[in-house]
Amino acid sequence: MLSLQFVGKESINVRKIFVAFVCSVLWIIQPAVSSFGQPPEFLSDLKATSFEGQTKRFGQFYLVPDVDVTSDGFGGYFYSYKDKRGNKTTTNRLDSLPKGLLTAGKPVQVAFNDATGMPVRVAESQTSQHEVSGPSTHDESGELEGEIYDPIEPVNRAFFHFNDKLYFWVLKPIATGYEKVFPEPLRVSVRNFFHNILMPVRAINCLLQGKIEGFGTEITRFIVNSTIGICGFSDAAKTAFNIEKRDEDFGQTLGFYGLGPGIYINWPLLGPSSIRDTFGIVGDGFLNPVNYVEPAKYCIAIKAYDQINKTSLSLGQYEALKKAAFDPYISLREAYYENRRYKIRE
Amino acid sequence: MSIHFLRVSLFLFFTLVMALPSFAGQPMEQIRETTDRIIAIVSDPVLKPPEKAEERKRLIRQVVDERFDWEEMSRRSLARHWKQRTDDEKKEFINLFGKLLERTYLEQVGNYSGEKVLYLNETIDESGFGDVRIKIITKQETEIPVRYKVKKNGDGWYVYDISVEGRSLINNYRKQFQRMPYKKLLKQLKAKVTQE
Repeated sequence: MLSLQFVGKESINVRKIFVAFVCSVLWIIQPAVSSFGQPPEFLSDLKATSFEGQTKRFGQFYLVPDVDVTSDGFGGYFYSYKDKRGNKTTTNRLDSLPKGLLTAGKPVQVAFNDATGMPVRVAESQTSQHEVSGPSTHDESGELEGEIYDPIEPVNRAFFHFNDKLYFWVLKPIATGYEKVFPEPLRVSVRNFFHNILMPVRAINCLLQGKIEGFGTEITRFIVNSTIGICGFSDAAKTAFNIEKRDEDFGQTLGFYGLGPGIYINWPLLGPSSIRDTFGIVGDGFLNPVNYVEPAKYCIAIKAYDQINKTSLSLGQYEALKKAAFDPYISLREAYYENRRYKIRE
Repeated sequence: MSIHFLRVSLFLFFTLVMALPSFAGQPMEQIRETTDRIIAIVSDPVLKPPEKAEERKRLIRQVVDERFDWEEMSRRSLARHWKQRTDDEKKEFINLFGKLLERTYLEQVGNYSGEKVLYLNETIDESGFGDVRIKIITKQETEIPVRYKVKKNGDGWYVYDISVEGRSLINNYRKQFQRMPYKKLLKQLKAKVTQE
């Protein structure tokens, strides 16, 4: 460590403070650390293989550069691993790992004893390629990938609570009344209309991601739906011509080029988002025709109406999530994170 | 002689070709069968009246129980908690968690009103795990991609996770359980299962 040399050998106290500082920083940025001394949580996701007469699980890992500093502090290790898609995640803390192979940044393969969850064998990645299956395809959906970083959780929870009350006290009663008055086909038509005018958002983002075919699809859909589909109230492109819609936005475009979500933000009114997707919302705002409606109060009114109409078509979904959840905040956060990741990959 | 040989080999070739898809089509076929049975139950007019609700639930539960691997679901959801549980605790949890998932599932299919199900594709790997992708088309013309993750046990494929538009049910529970003490988790689970 460069910084350790900079501190100097003789100033032991300073060094101790520094190590303690590094450890505490690592501790703060590691939500997973709460499982101190536990078998790593991802273990159950690795494929169990019978090897050397024991059931073991294999995974390929890349050591975190700071791993030796951590071992000095509390005798534990962190390392990060990459899955097939190259997503990198730092694991839980482990209490022991053979020291000899701990070269920072070097890919290693770790075999875990299925019974104890402890690493039993570490090898350099290239030497034993055939033994290692890594995360098998059944886990490809991302059980091995991390979770969204949520350092402002208390603030987010407060806003979550606010949105929750907003839904039950304001949005739901209005949407329920609206639902009673207007039949479902009409509300679906309204939804189609609002979807249709957002064509620029989807088309431009297809283009930005180099999905030329998607761009063409969106333009075609817009022309068909605005004419045959009567101003977009009917999705004629889908029903008559079977042209599928493309769901793209700027947050997905940023994600497509490798930008991570940053941190989780549960906005009041807007709900679950992240740094990346907040930029996405702002960017898409320029392509949303509703935002060019003047004066601003009409723009707000149109958006509120769109929201009420949408809510009337999804009444009961949020309630179902809450009923099934042990911690609705986390449930919503993970649902958001996984759904965004899914959309970016698509 | 050679014609005979040709005929036999052609016959063998075609029977093999015919046989392969049905062999490869296992998990999807089994999911399809289960889904069809559930749809048959929920759209049965005899079971529609409210006084038949219990009977209907029982029938659906029976079908669902046959296809879902509650133990695997519990194990994956509990993750680090799982290893610290005794066999009795595991059994207790599987039973309760299975009931909770079942109820959530029942409430979802209870609202069934003629949604269409499209069976897209399946993948199987040699270690006995598979993937079945379907698409549900709602009455509001929305398409919902659903992915069943299945594990082989004997001749059957059993569901251990369901992802709806990328949101995995088991991941979601695991993230919630991860930071909870087991006692609190169990207490909450019991309360959830008993409340109707």
